[in-house]
Amino acid sequence: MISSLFFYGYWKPEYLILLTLTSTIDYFSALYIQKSESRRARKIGLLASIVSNLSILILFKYSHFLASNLNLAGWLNETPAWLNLVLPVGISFYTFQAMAYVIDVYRKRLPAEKSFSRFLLFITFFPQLVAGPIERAPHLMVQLTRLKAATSEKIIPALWLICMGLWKKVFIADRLGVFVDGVFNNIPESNGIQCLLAIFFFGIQIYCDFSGYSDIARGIARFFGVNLMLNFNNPYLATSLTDFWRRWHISLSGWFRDYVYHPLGGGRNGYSRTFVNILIVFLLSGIWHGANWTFLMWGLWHGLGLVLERVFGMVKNRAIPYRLATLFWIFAGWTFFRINSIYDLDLFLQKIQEFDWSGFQQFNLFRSNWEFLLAALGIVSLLMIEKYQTLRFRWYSRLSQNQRMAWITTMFLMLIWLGKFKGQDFIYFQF
Amino acid sequence: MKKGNQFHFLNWLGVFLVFHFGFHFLHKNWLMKQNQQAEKELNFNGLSSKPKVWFMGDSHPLLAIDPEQIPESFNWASRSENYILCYYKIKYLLERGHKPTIIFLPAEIHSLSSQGKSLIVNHELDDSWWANKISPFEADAAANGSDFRRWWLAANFASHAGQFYHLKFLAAQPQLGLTKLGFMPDSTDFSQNENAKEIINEKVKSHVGKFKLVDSLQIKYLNKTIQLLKESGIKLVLVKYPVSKPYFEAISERINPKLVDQEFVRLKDKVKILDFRNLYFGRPELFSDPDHLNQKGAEEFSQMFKEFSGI
Repeated sequence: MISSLFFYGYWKPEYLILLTLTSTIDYFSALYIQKSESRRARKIGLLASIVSNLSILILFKYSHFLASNLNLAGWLNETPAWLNLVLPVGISFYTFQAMAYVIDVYRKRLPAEKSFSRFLLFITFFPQLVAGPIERAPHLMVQLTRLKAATSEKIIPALWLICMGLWKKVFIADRLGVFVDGVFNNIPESNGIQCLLAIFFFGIQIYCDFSGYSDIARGIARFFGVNLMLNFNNPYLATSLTDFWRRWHISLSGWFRDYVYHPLGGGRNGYSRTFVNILIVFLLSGIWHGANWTFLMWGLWHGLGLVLERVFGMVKNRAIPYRLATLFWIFAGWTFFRINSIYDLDLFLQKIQEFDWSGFQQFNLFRSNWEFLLAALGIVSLLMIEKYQTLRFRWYSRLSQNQRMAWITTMFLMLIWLGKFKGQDFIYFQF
Repeated sequence: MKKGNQFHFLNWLGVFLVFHFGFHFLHKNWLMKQNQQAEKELNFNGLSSKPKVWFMGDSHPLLAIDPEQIPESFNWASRSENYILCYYKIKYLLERGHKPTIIFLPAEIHSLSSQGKSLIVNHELDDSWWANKISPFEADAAANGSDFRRWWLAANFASHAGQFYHLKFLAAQPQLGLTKLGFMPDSTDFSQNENAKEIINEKVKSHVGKFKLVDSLQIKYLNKTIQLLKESGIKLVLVKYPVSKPYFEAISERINPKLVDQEFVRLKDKVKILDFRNLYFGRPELFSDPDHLNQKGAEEFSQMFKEFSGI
């Protein structure tokens, strides 16, 4: 726990106070809920936790956005300077994890944790503190109560996970990021083909960046004998948009399903109510990612996609053309996610419409042909990594432990030579 | 971790570290052994009488100043050497007991750009020479961040990280093309280039495209340099080196050069500024690219510089 607090506090010690404060409120709220017998008192305990968590989240993450929009609408003279707060890293992740815990105690799905230090470790467990997966108490808390010594059988897969995660991040994501940033940060000077490629590359980049982080977090946690949940399960192999959301950022999708969608009535109250519930969930999911209209549009895009999928009865359609259409929808949606502001969207779409092929040779955004080749190799290697995770290479399973160690060592050493180390943070750190 | 397994893991870690540091030393001391900084230091140390007039900074002085034409001078400049690097290089040389009477630093349109810091912390310059010259804590304190500490760790303990393209030096070491006094002559005549317009546009984009034109960190380091030289009793002069007319016009369409110049004007009580920016407008044959002089231009400029500055 102390290591986890040091890990978080190293960045900005003052935000440790915030993290400890919300954790303390959640800890006592859960104990109060468990101790209370009246429904009213239990609700008060729950509300105390939710209001405190959401207030802090709104203050740090959304207040500036709200104020600047009120300002634009003419309802506020100016955006107060004190609202320019630095967003605490991982606030959306640990807030949701803590809220899930208190709601589960309220629903009597688990007993409140008596040990404050164990509860604090559950919230601050460093591998997953800043970018998830958003763990549930029944899964993680139990493991934290019986931390096991890592055996060599566990160390090798743990190292392999870390290696694959780093490969996705520094070999693929950061390399593609150079091209993607070059286009999205300079749309006026980019052409149509570059804009299209940037969307495609961003789709790969964000997957490698985020799932790479999850792999590293899971690998590090295994050193302590902890199994974190799987956060990505080959999302781009999804058969439908519904299937995609069962495979992409599984811990967040599950959170919204259990704590928002189902309480709203889920799909039990007729079509129109279901559609409204889906749209609410995805608008919330969009805004969870960041205080910007672009994220709201991204959420709306996916919400609409899911509604259309149900209207046309395509949820269980496994035909290849529909899979491709799903992929198209997902990748098109990344435009909203990545674009810097909605004001850039018009120009970006205009560039794509112009479809200027003359710039096809202009891969110079990669800086060199080598970088372009490595990016292409990265995408191919990604397919192999995905294949390994689902099917397992037969040759790898035949290797002895020492041979596996040698293989992992080679991969790490290669990664250091070939990675892109430009000090780029993980994309999801900003959420 | 169980005892037996711990041993197993430590074995792995040991093997990994041996290979890792093996590659680090191979990269730092062999692949990158031939670099401009090291070569210049070697040449300078080899001179029996140490020059007292130093030209420092980026590629502008590197290609424009031929010390053969200017008595008692040495060209310490290297590509993309910004004020942060100049400060640490001067500090290092002073600590080694060398003391010039005058130092000339460039004052270009992009001299204060945030690109300077970006090039260092992203390992786009030659880390091997700079690794133990830059103080990461001092630089981070000035930049209010942690980028320099990260850079320092990588430069000193994993210099090969991300530098796969240096493997080409296994086949042949790069030609530095420096004279004994640090000048890098380039005989290219840019006026003969058929793609001049595209090259100018690319150049302008790279100088002012995505970077902040005036970075407070560069200003801080320029001021630190002024202070350091003042304390050491060394004169400092800022020089605006010649650029071609089409380049200046293209860059002026994108930004207002006065925005940068006014930052230098603020220093006029502390340092002298020499402005040769438009000296060779209408003389395209003197340039090797949009904003660098070629050998012919450098000879003419160095001669003129000697007479003008009275060195």
